[in-house]
Amino acid sequence: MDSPTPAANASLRFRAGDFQTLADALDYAARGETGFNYYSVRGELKTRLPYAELRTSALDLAGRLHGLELERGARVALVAETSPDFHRLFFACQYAGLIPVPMPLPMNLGGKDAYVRQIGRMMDSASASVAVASSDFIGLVREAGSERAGMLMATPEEIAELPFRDGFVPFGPDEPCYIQYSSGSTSAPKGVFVSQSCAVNNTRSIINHGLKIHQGDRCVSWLPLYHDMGLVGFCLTPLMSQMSVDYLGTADFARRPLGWLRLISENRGTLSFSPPFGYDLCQRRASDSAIGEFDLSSWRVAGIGGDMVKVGVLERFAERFEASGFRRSAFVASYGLAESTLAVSFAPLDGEIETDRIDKRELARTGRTVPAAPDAPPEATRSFVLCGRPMPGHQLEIRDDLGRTLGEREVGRILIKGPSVMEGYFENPIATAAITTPDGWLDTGDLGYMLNGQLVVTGRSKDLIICNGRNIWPQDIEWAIERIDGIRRGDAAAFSVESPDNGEQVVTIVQCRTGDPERRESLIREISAAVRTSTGVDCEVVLAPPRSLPLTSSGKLSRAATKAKYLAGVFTPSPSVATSAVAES
Amino acid sequence: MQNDVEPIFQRTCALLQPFNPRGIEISPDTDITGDLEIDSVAVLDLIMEVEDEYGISLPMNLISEIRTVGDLVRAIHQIAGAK
Repeated sequence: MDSPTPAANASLRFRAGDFQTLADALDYAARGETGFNYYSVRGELKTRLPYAELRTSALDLAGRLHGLELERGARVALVAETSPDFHRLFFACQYAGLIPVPMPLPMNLGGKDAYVRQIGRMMDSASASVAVASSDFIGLVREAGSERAGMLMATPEEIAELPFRDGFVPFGPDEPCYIQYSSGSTSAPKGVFVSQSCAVNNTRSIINHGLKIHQGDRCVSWLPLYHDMGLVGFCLTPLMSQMSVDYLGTADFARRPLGWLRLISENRGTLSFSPPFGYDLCQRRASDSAIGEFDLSSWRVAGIGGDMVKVGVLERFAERFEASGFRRSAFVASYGLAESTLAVSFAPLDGEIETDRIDKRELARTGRTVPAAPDAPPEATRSFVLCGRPMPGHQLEIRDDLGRTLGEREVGRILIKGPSVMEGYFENPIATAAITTPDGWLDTGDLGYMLNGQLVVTGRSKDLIICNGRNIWPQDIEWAIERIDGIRRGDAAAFSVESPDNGEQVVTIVQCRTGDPERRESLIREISAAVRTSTGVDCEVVLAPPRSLPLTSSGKLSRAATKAKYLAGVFTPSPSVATSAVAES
Repeated sequence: MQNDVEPIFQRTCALLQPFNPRGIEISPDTDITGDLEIDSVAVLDLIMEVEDEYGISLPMNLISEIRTVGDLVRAIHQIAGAK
């Protein structure tokens, strides 16, 4: 295989995202030599796809999709493998005036059934007219879509053989761009409806302000393309600034994480992002010989996003890879969410990660963050990372539960406003209204405070559990448990508590009606097995008597109150296999 | 199990031992994530070891359909045999 696409175009002038639509940006980038490169798990270049070739095949596929005579803005679900076909079809939709809907890939051993249910619900929620997946996944899509009458399900090869029809019109500046499903639980997916205007505004701000991208920058990414950080950060932003990208599949990264660093080292990558979990995985897997082989001196921005930044993880990574030329000033903390297309704020470039060490008891007592005394013991303090100022044109505000604006150092809900904020969830006005304030702000559900103009995030969307970089909704865990024989709807509550090693420990409280010790024992085993199979996490299982789970005033399960009761020791942990296994690990 | 898959089964059992703290007897019907104690990161470690051991690559779509030890053994046999 020949060499990957170059980092910079030979003669085409660098343009920093000043385009009206994605189609405009691809038309321009196609005049140069840069583009996308796809690597195998063993680090071999599988395919190079310069923007010029991407545009040619996207235009051809657009004609094939146009031949289906769908209404303008019809949804095309795409199983988002990190592959040339996904990119070709995503941009074919842009040219044909159809809305692409990236869908996830299965990631768990034995997770097939849960996956089929998940994508089935997404295709329903998006009312997809077409669903495309490679031959590896089309079987699963057909199973998931079997009840969606009239939906065309096809492989990319089959789409390419449809008759070509001329006369398609690309999406204009006032039209939609794509729908993204990373919000909401699997059981009730919410599609973030992103417009062309949001996509170009957010990427333009990332290019000019967040990352200050210049000609010669090169991206390396293993982030899934069905998440905002992968799609917007490492597909749309590079396109808008004519950068080359070297891709590694997400499952390949998880198996061989050092392949990521090898790619940065060999291709002289300058921009790459990961949740803290990715840095941790590399640091734990790296042998001394591997560290000697890498040259990470080209890495200008090692971004952190997608989860709360834990300083210890970054420290260990920086120490471990200092010998490979990694500079700790390359770390850049950021804050964002799919509802704001991707990015809201970036910490300043070329500085050390800034932290605020505060008094934990004062925070719990008053909701204010007070700097801890220098001699305060570690258990009385907590360090939070500063995530930077909002990008120009974007606004941030911290408010309390009554909607009052809070001042510096006061912890409250993070609200955002600006040109990157979505208009709403796709065909879901109730969910949209639930997070929109009367004065037009979007309530992120995350908690934080402002310090010298910078945002500090202290907690996230209240019920979300993040394990090894994956977002897990408690509803999905509860749902898996409720499918077990003898357990009824509303019997299970899932939440996470901080584990001794700073990670998260998932706890489930399950109401059960049997006192038989043997039956209880086997129930606990069935519950942990169901949770592992559906979501891939280990959990502690606590059995509780019927009607012991606290409800909110509207009769819904209150996870926060359940967690508080658990922490207060109200639920007696069962002397069980699952619990003891957790304690050992 | 057929004769040619028996060695693969034995080898797989050895690779699974670290995830079997309760020391249950592993049979082809053992449910990997249900009966053993293995989370999503450990699964990828296991898959990587299997791949290295046999010089193969197990595609994600196949992995999502593997529930039991017997399923895993058959998948290895099928992919390694096709090489």
